[in-house]
This record gives sequence, structure tokens and C-alpha cells, in this order.
Amino acid sequence: MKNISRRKFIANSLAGLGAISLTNFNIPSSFAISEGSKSLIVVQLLGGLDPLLAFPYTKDDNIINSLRGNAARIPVSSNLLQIGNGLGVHPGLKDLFSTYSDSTKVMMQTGNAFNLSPNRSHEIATRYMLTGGYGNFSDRYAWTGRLYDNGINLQGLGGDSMAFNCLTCANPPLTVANYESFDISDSSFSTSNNKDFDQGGLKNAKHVGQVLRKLNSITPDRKISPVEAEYRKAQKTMFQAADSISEILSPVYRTSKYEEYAVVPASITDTHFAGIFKSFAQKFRNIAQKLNQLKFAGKSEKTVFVLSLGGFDLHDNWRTSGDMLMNILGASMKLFRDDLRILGVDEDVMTICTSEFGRSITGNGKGTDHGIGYTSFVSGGNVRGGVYGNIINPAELENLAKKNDNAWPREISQERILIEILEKHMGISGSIAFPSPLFEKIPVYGDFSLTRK
Amino acid sequence: MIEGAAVFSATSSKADYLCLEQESKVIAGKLMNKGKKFLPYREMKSKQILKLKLKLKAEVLITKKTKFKNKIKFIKSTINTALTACAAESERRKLPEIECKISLINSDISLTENEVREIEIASTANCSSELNFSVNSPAQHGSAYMDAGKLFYKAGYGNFADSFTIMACHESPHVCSSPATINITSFGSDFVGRVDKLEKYRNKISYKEARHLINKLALNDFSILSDDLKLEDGYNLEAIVNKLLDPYLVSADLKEQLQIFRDGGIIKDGVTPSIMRPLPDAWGRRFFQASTPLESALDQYKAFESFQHEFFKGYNPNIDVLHYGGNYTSHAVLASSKYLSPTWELLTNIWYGHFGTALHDFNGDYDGYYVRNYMDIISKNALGNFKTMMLGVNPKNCLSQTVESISPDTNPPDRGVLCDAASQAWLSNHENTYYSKNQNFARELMELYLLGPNDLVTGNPNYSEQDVVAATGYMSGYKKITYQSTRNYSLDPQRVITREEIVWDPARHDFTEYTAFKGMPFEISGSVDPVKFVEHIFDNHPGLPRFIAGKLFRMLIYTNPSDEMLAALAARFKQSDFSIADLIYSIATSEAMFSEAAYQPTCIKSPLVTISETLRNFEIPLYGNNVHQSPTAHIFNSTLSSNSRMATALSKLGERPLMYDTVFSYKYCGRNPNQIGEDWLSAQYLLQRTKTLIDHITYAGWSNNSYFHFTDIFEKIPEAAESIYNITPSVIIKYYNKVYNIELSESEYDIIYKYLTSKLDDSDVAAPYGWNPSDKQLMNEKLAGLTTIYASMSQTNIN
Repeated sequence: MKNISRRKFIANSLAGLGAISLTNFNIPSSFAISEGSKSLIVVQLLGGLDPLLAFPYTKDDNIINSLRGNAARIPVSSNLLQIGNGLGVHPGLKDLFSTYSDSTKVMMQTGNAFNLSPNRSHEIATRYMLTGGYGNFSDRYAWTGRLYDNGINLQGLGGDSMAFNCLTCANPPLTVANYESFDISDSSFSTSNNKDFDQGGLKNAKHVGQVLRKLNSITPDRKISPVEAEYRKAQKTMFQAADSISEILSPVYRTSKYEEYAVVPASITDTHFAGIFKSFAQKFRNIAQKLNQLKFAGKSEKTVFVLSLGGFDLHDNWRTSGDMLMNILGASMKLFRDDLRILGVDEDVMTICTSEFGRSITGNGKGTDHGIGYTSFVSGGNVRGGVYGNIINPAELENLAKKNDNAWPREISQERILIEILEKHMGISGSIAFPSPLFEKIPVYGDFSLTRK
Repeated sequence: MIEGAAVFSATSSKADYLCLEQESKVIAGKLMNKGKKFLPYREMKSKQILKLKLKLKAEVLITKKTKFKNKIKFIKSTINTALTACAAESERRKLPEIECKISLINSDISLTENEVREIEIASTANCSSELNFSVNSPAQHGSAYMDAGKLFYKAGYGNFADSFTIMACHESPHVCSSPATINITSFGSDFVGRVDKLEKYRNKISYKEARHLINKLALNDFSILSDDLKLEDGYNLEAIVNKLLDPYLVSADLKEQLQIFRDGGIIKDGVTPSIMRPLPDAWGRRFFQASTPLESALDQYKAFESFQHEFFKGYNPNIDVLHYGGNYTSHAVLASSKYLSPTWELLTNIWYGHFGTALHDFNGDYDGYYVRNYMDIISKNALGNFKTMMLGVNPKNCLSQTVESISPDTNPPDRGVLCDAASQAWLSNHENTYYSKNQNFARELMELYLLGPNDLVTGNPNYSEQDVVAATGYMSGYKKITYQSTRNYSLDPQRVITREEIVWDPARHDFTEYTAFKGMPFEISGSVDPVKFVEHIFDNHPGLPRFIAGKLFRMLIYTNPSDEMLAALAARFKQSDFSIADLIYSIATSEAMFSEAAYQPTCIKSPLVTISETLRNFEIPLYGNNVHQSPTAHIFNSTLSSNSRMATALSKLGERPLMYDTVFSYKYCGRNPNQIGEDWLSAQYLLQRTKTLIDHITYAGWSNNSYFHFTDIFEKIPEAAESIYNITPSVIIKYYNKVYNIELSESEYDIIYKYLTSKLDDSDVAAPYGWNPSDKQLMNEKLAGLTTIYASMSQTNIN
């Protein structure tokens, strides 16, 4: 079957079978995903994740109330799913955590190991989060880029995940906000009988597309500035992406839950947030499609996906916007997980939700201000569940607010968690992402016992 | 192109052999049994000998008991012995006089950008075969180097004068001639400014330099280079810059656009628009009276400003007012970028991104006042005064509008960004009180508006977390109120609507005596109000002028100015009391502006700039000619929604003017040092860029409301004046090259030429088709495609 992709092979075979539905097609066992295929999905919760939004306390409500009032706290109630040691999860994450009670690990007081004097500027903290060590604006090498340099498939799906900063890469990694709109031939040259308006329609669009590809494929015999060289590299990736995405989106790879990603759950009541859900869930659908494609192709591949959900800078509207964001996160991830289970790849895919910093311990009346430590969490079929790190007793919070500039401390470095995942789940040395001398500077924090196997 | 002539002549007439370091080491080492460094004897002073005392202590074979003066005596004696021996050796090895003359063979050289050329050196016969050459001091714009005994010069970007020095050296014994300078002189003398120098450049600039200026500072609108700016063999730099700084400079096609609004359409090419009549009173009076003058640029500016203001006031009888959010606001920004002064608009858009608001954060979305007011503050001060933009003409207005002073019938007094409703609401400062602190505004005031997190020159933090706490207290005291107003901008002047406004409420202000910038020369403490705090930063904090001036320079000229350049810019900015116009004038007329660093492309253009440039260059209108579709459907109903596709496109590209998703606004080139634009040129951004360009370019040519046809471009091509058949594919390509300010390689030219003369067959293979300028359908197709191709090319999208 040299030079014929499995998708084409299957499609051709099916054409011969006539009326068999593609979506009901039973995947032959010989196409089962390779043992070596592993994925990591990094979900950046941008704006600064409040530890008490995702994981509220289930006791001492009066203390939290005195620190924050009603505007910035999830009140203790019997509906809160408890995950132990006085911690619960936001109702929006309840379904996800219920399903994955033993497959989600919560990491307390997470922070960046290299943001030494924790800067609470969004931009600086985000830069640390993206680069994983190098906070300098002019130094654009990121941990994801280094993985890409070493053969790990890297895909970004919108937002700040675009900032892969992969200057070392021969070609930029694939960064696409929305697979569905990634069609270069979808151009609007008009057709009309009126000579004043006719622009040649689709034929001309195709022709122009060919010309653009050709212009990009040659090496012009003129001087090319470094910036233009970067531009041309990215253009090349664009054309390659257009080809590969059209294949990923093929109906052959439709997953079982494909249609459901577009259905806004009842818990997301606001139209603004409904739009965000659709866009965010669609990214997970695209990842599921991609994983399905890999499975069909029988490819053994290690892939890192990066996507982001913004809006966590909740200086105000903490409760209303925070609830919606948690509902979006929980609903889309739960759907994705269900899809992966049906695909049989649940154990191969691990997701980490992370942020650039946390929020203040006390409220500001409407929300919370910038802080330091936040809570991250990891989920997936291969995760050994539980809470990791020091859970701060609510009674200590008032003192902590004074001692630590009104912020949760950092105890577990984000980079250490990533190294754990890379090494234990992906089978990749953490020193590839964080080479020396970075590697040695990332604090060790005991045995995470992160994975089941 | 670099053209140059260089003459090199050097004679080494005498080998003046010195007691060089190496020989000194050998001789002194023999005497002292150690190889310590010695200076050549002619350069050695007695003091230096004394200084050697401690260094040589270990090597000198004398005991600790030896008296100090004896130690010195011994050292002097030892060294003198060494030097005497060295001098004797020098005399013994003295070379005979050499008469060796070297010169350049190719004294006239002509180089293109980045080209490498050997500079051939000839020497007279009596030169020793051991003669070598080396580059002594490097070239400034290109690079000079020796390779396998040959001298090479590699040109940089631009057309620069350059110089470097070389030396001729005899190997053994080692002796060199004095350095000889090679001058690469540029006949055109383009871009000979020194990098990072704010000193004034010459006033007469070349056409290429003038285009560079327009490319950098005026949205590539080359129509600005009118004949009155010309000098003999060049352009008047001062005059061009003054023109760019003119707030009332409008685009050439604005008048026609305004005539459509005023007159209900215009007769074009003998064709009367489908509906052409004066605007019905109810509508017409809202925009222009039939007598609205449109003759002078000032008239047109005022008429456009009025139009933009009305745009935000509401026009639709069904909803009374326009919902300004989202695409409509972007559209208004795009309209200004297309028709008003390109430099003012470029700066306006930079400031929109700098302050980074999102206007939907204010709940009064039925009232365009907030949008209009915010846009006025920015656009009127964009090339005015930064301090005024921040604080308003009268800073006290930020403290004088209170609940009591609000009038239902009059507008609030003019205020700066500091207490403007849109900014306050965007960053939650109206919720910042003495009893409930909200740090959002205070933090971003320092990080985004005034200082940046770290000083651009020293790298030190400009403020601390404690300063954020203090500033939050200082900035507290504003409040959002709701009241009933007849100031509603609707058609019914009696109608009362509910409005929101930001007012100063001292009862909410935190009068705690905080200290900010503790321990710094610009420390401030006490009970401080918002105006006093911001004025204090302007007057005392050194980070402000560096941050603002540095940011503007990086975004406009090149992304990595030196610390010295930043310091010079900051000093100038501060000295002018924060005049943006003065700063831009200094930059635009500086050597740095016309240096290699400025000429070399460093930026990916922002989506708004890319789209505006194309609209300007081809005079593609934003609104159609037959604007009145029906008595109840106004121009906006018929054209705005469809034209907002361009604003939608901006949004898809990640740039949503005044509707930013985060405080970072858009990732503009130069926003941070060395940032070239989007953090990474992702496939997604490029695809959107390409599709967007196709979308808005082709739409302009087929919209029913449009009065633009691609064949209109022919009118701008001089060759067409005589006969349309003079428009050949190569003439068209030449014209597009000029409009887009790019140079095609031969291979690129061939691909584009082939596109113009072929079409796809049924198998989607390009087959020869031919070219005929009288075939309107073919021309429409080819020019729509060609414009798309050019707009998508990498050269067009970088600056």
C-alpha cells in the first residue's frame, strides 16, 4: 500500500462496498493504535486561575466569607463534590471528576519555578508559563519548541497556544485555532454575468491558490530579510496544514461524540459563553479527530496539543463569569473524555490544566486580584487520582494573606509536573524540554505517583 | 544598489622593529626563568616597572629576608638587563628598508544589497612575499573580511556609504603598516544615516528614502509625495514630515465619498446611481446639510468627523440608536484609517492598542457617547501631547465631575484616559473603593499605560507589588452611576433614556497615607488622589519617557534600538513635555530613520495596517454609490452591515480595535523589544490574513453597492492614457510593484506573468490563454487575483 494512505485505502474499499455507512464502520483490529502513541494536552487557563474557583473548600465557609464575601466564593453546600481533605470541586467540573474520581490528580499551590520574584503582570507571568523558564521577551525559545525540535508532534489550537516561540524549528509547528475554517480554497471571487463584477469564481480562486503555493515553493533570486524568511517558512506550514487538516476532517474519522461538541449544555446560559463553549469544545473535537486519524493510520506518535481558555482575570463578575468558565471547561473535557474512551485511547491521552498565576486570597468586593500560586490538575485514564501538595487550612488563610502579599504560595513547580508527565506518561526525558542548567533548577517535590502504569 | 569608489595606498618604508612582547618574554624568561608579560621597552615607563613589583615577587629568586629596597633594585636590574638584551637583538635583526606599495585594482565597485565582492589588492614587485593583509577596523553597514589571502566586502541592506581599514603586515619579523582606509562611497547616498542616532539627517532625501518614510509612517500612501514636496533630484524631508503631522490631511478619495453622503449619490462615468436624491430631512440633517462645504481638506475632515460621530449616535428609526459594539467599532476605526491622515491614524491605532480597552465593558451600549468620547480622546491627541491624552486638558476635571454636577442635558467635561468612562469600566476602577480594593486599574496604569514592568534601559523593576497596593489606594474613588438623560442622540429630542456615567466620589476614595516607590528618588507618600499620582509619575518617574518613547520607536522604526538611543529619545520626549508630535518629528528626521537598521525589514504588519494600505493604494471605497435603497433604509443599513465584513475580518485576524480580548490588545510588532509581530507566524494567522485579503479585495469589486471596478485601476496607470492596449502584463506588474513598494525576483515575475496570461482548464491545470485589456471580464478576474496575490506576498506583509 505504498503511497496510499490508510484513509484513502479505507475510503476506496468502502466505495466498493456501496451502502455501508462510514460512521458505523467497524475499525479493524489491525488498525488499533500503536502502543507507543501518547498525547499530552496542555490547557492554559489564562488570566490567573483562582484556587477557590476550581477547588473550593467544603468547610469553614464563614472564614472564606469573611475574606471574600459572596461575590468571590463558592458557598459550601452538600452539592459540592468532595475530593478529600476539606476540598471540593466546582459544580461545573463535577461530572468530569465524578467520572474520573480515580483518574484526576489535583496539584496544590502550583507556580513557575523561574518566576523567582513572582511577577503578577499577566504578560510576564504568561511568558514564563509559555517558555517554561526563560522569561526574557527577546528569548523566544519555549519548552514546547524544544520538544518539537526533538521530534515530538506539536499542535496549537488557538489563543496563546499560538506562541510556541519555536525559533529553532526548521518549520513552525502547526497552530490552528479552528480546523473547520481552515480551507484556503474557500475564497470569494465572484461569478456574474455582468462583466463589471465577474471575478472568475472558484476557478480563479484555485488558480490564485496555485500561484501562491508556487511563489512560496521557489527560492527567489533576490535578497530575503530574516523576517521575510520567517514569513515564508510559516506560509509553507500553512499550505501543508491546509492539506493535512482537510484529511483530518474527513468523515472517515468522525468520532462517536462528534455532533455533541456543538451542543451547548444547559448549564451554559449566557450566549457569550455559549459561543466560547462551541469554540473551545470544537478544539477538543479536532484533537479527537486527529487521534482517530492516527489510530486508523496505525501510527505510533507522541503528540503535544496546546490550547487555551481565557477570561480568568476575574477582578469582577467572579461568580457569574467564573461559573460559566468552569462549566465550559468541565463540560467540554468530560465530553472529550467520553469520546476518547469510546475510541479506546483514554489511557494514552493526559490533560493538564494550568495557568500563569493565581488570585489574591482576599476578595475585592466583586472578584479577586492577581496572586501567585494556583491549583492545576491533571486528568486521563492513566492518571492515579488524588490531591498532591499541601492543602492550606482555611483558618490559616488570613495570616497567609498578610505573610505572602495576599497570595497563595508556590510549592510545586509547573515545570516539575510537566517533567513528571513527559517522563512517566510520554516516555520522554524531561531534560529535552528543560535542558541543563534549567533542569537542575526545577525543584523536586517528592514522588508524584502520577501514573497508573 | 551600492556603488562606490575606493582608493587604497600604503607604503611601508621602514621596518621599525620593536622589542615586541614575544621577544621580551623569551629574553626576560631566560634571565628570570619565568615567562611573564613585558611591555615593549619603548612603551615601558618606570612607574610600570614599579607596578610589576608584586606580580614578579614569586618569580624573583630572592628570599623573604631581602630588604624591600633591595628587592626593587633587583627587579629593576633584572628588567633592565632584559631590555638591554632585547634592544641589542632588535638592532641585530633590523630589516633593510622596504619600498612596498600596495593599491586597489578595482577602485570602482558597484554592489547590490547583500552582494559579496572581492576587492583586489595589487602590490609592487619589491614587496616581500611574506606580506599579508588583515581588516583592522570593521565596516559599519556591510562587512569586510579576508579569506584565503583575498579581501572581500559584503554589502548590507540599502545603499550606504561605508568604510573600513586594512593593514599590510610582514610576518617574520612581524611588522605592520599603519592602517589604510578604504571608502565605499554611495553615488546615490541613500540610507547613509547612522544607526541609533537622533541627530538630524540631511534635508534632501532621495525618492527611495521618501518612499521608505511613507512606508514606515504613512500606511504606504504614496499619493502623499506630491510635486510640491520635490526638490531638484530629491524630496524635501522637512516638508514631507510636516505634511505627515498635519491633522487635516485627508485621502484623495474622501471628497467623493462625502459627496455620496451629502448628495445621495454621485454621477460617475455618466451613470446616475439608481437612487439619487437629497437625503430625507430626518436623515439628512443628521449628517450633512445640503450646503455642507467639502472643498478644502479641513471641510472634508470636519464633515468626516461629523459623520463618524453620528455613526455612534444612532440613526435607525427602529432601534433609535446604533449598537456600536464589535464590528461596527472596528469598522469606524478602519474608516478613519482609510480616509484621514495616515500618520495620525497609524498613531491613533497604536494608542488604541496601548490602552487596550474593550468598549463592550460599559453597559451603556445603547448610547454611543462612551465610544465617541474615548475615540476622540485618543485620536485628537494621537500626535498631540501624551500627558494631555492621559490627564485631559484640565486634569482637575477628573475630580470635578461628581454625582451632584451631572446634568441630564449636557455632556460631561472633557477628560483624559485616566478617568474616561471606557477606561475606568474596562479595568474595574469604578469598583475600587477604600473599603473594597480592586487592583486592576492601578496595576495596568503602571504596567501598560505609563511605565512598563521594567525600565527599558536599566532593566530594573519600575514598580513593586507594594507600589500596586499604594496606587490602588490612590486611584480609588470613582463610581458608576445611572441617571435619566434627554441627551440621547435619537431622532426624538424629547425622549428620555437611561444612561451610565463615571463620576468622582470622594466618599469612596481611600485617604490612607500610602507610600509608593519607596526609597527611590521619585518616592511619593501621603493621601494622594488619582490626578496627583499620575502627574507625579509624569514629572518624576524616569521610566515613563523611556517606556513611551521607546515603544513608539520600536513599533515604528526598528525593534532593537540601543540603550543610548532610548535615552536620547526619552530625553527629547521629556524635554518637550511629552509632545508626541515632537517625538515623531525627531524620529522621522533622524539619521536612525534613514539608517540600514530602519531600512531592513523587521516587522510583520498588523492586520489593520495591511488592509488600510491596500484600501488606500487602490482607492477602494468603503461605501457604495447608490446608498439609498429605500426611503426607510439608510446608507448604514444598506452598506454598513456588508462593509463590516472587513471589520469582521480584522477580528478573525486577532486585531479587534477597541474590542480587545485581553489587556495585551494585539501582538503588535515592537510592542516588546525584538517582537516582530504575532508571537509566532502561525499557519492560522497566515491563512486568515490571506483569506481576509481575498475577501475584502474581491468584495470591493462585486458588491452591488460598490462603485469600484478593478478596471478602474487602469486610470491610474500612465501608459493607459494613450491607449488601453498599452496595458500589457508587464506594465501591470510594474504598476503593482510600485504600489506595493516591492521588488520581484525574475522567478517570481515569471510566475505572476504566467498567471496573467493563463487560465485553469477543466483539470485545474493552468493553460495559456492570452491577455486582452479590452476584455472587461478577463481584466476583472485577473486584477482581482493579482491584487490578492500581491497582498498575500511575504514582501507586502512585512515592514
